[in-house]
This record gives sequence, structure tokens and C-alpha cells, in this order.
Amino acid sequence: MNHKLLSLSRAPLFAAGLALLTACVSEPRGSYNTVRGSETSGESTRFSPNRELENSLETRNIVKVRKDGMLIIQFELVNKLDRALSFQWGIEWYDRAGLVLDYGPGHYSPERLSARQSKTIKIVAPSPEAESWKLQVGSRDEVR
Amino acid sequence: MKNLTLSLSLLSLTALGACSSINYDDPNKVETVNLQFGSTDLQSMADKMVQSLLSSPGLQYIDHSGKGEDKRVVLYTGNVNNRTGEHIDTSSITDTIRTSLLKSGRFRIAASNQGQDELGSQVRFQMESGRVDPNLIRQFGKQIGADAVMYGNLRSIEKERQRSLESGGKKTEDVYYKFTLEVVNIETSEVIWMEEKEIRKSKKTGLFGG
Repeated sequence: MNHKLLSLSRAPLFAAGLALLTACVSEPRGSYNTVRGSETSGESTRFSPNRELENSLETRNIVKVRKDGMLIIQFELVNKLDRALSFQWGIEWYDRAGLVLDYGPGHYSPERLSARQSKTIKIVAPSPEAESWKLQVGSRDEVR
Repeated sequence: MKNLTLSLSLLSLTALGACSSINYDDPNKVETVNLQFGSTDLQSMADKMVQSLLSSPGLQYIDHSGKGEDKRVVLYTGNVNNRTGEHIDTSSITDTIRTSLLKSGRFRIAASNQGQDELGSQVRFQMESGRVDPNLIRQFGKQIGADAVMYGNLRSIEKERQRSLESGGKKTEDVYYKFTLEVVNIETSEVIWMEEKEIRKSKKTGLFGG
């Protein structure tokens, strides 16, 4: 009985110890969902490990066109929820060999869509060499 | 037991408060430290301008009698006037734009004012110092002439609503940026390209917020 009481009294100590250990560690805030496409392939490929975001946000109507030598892609982001949704997206471009074109719009753009709102985004590739892209949509993860 | 719980709570709070660290982070991450002009604003503005410049049919080439095979537009990037209330180094926006345009291969970029200053001192050094082998002194007077000049303005509108009963004790701050950039043909003074980028940021602070 005394032994049990001792264990119980140690529980808060254990919790406090755990709090001390985890106090400086941040929690992951959700992974990115990816849509890959290229100028030559018909269908884009999707990888959606963030199910919560996948259920809230749809990426649809992807259009690709080469105009005046530059590859342009357009896509529609649709908030499927009845409340506002905040997220961020970013895009990477690759040349024919699959090497990343590490300049141009490489940063993440913050986005906020009202309930059931959609937004069409058009992006021009940073170079005529661009032939494929990777669009990443994820939870807001900001430097605050 | 009560004392123990209180002590542990205080200890945990102290541990949380003592948490301080320095980390390297992704420069492409969204930054919302405060309402002031930040890296995400700079990147968004530069991106919009670069994409528009790269896809503009009017900037595919400019031809004239002095040009050889290469008909690409030779662009000189002038100043972006900062007409906001903040101290913003607008040359960082034009630097990003110049870098992307040059790397795209679609434009030729004439030296900036800083480049001309550096060139001037190197020319003087080669011509006047007597330290450079005469056979290796470069020929001058061969700089490319810009076809067009790019310049612009950055403006902002800032508004604030103080806490009131009507606002439910919330304070609202709002800042709107408008970045306008244009490209003018040097010979004709005709504006051959123009683009705008708008950004709105707002902050709502609750009754007990700072």
C-alpha cells in the first residue's frame, strides 16, 4: 500500500521531468502534400501524407502551357471547409535532366481562403529550361 | 501535496520561460514576426515582377542597328523609391529581380551604379597607377548601352483601430503595400512594361495582448 502511494506521489515528479525534457523541443506541425507534374506527362502525381490538409484543401484544374518560350502553370486551390483555412504553398522547378532550378520563386507563400473560397494561381517558370515542377502545400509554419 | 504540486508547476513554468535557442532556418519560410516589411514581402514582390517580366511579349527583344546577333533586351535597373513610413532598403528587391532575370538568360543586365563606381576606380587604376602591364590594360569605351531602364515606387497605407467596446476590446493594425515597377524604352521614353504587386497584412490583438 505504502509502495503504491509512493508511486502515485512520484507521478507528478515524472510529469514535471518530462515537461522539463520537452520544454525546448518543438512539435512537428504536419507534413506537406505534393503535386508533381511535367510539360510532357499528361497526369500529375500526388502524394498526400497530410490527410487533414488533403480533406480541407483541393488542388485542381492544373493547366500547363509554354508561351513565348516560358513554361507557365496554373492551378486552383479550393477550400472545402465551411470556415477559413490558412496554409502555405511553394513550388520548385526542374530542368530536363531533373536538376532543380534553384532560383526564382522558391519561397513559401502564405495563403488564407475564406469558407468554400477558391483562388487561381498562375506561375511562370524562372527559366526557359524548366520542364517539370513540384508544388508543395502545407500547414502554416512561420518564423514568428 | 499541495505544496509539491505548486512547486512543480512553478518549476515547469520556469523551464518553459528559460527556453532559448538559436537555430538556422529556411530563408524561404514565411515570416510574420511583426507587421513591418519582411523577407516574405520582399520575395513575393520580386517574384511577381520577375514572372511578369519573363512572360511579357514586349520584352522578348529590342532591336536596333548597333545590335549584333543577340537581340535580348539590355536592362538597366534604376532606383525604387521608398515612399513608405518604414526604413526599407529597396535595392534588396531590385537585387533579387536582377539576379533572377540574369539567371533566366532572357535579359542582359547593364552594370548598376555600384558597378559603374567599381569600374571607374578600376579604369583609373589601370590607366593612371603605372602598376599595370601596358599590354594587359583593357580597352575601354566598349560598355553595352541599355535598351531600357527599370524603376519604381514602394508605397504603403497604414491604419490602426484602438481597443473599444465596439471592437470587443480588440486592437487592429493593418498595413497595405503597393509596389509598382515600370520599364521604359530609353530611345522613345515609351513605357513598355508595367506591373503592380499588392500585399496586405493585418494584426488583431486581444484585450490582454501586447
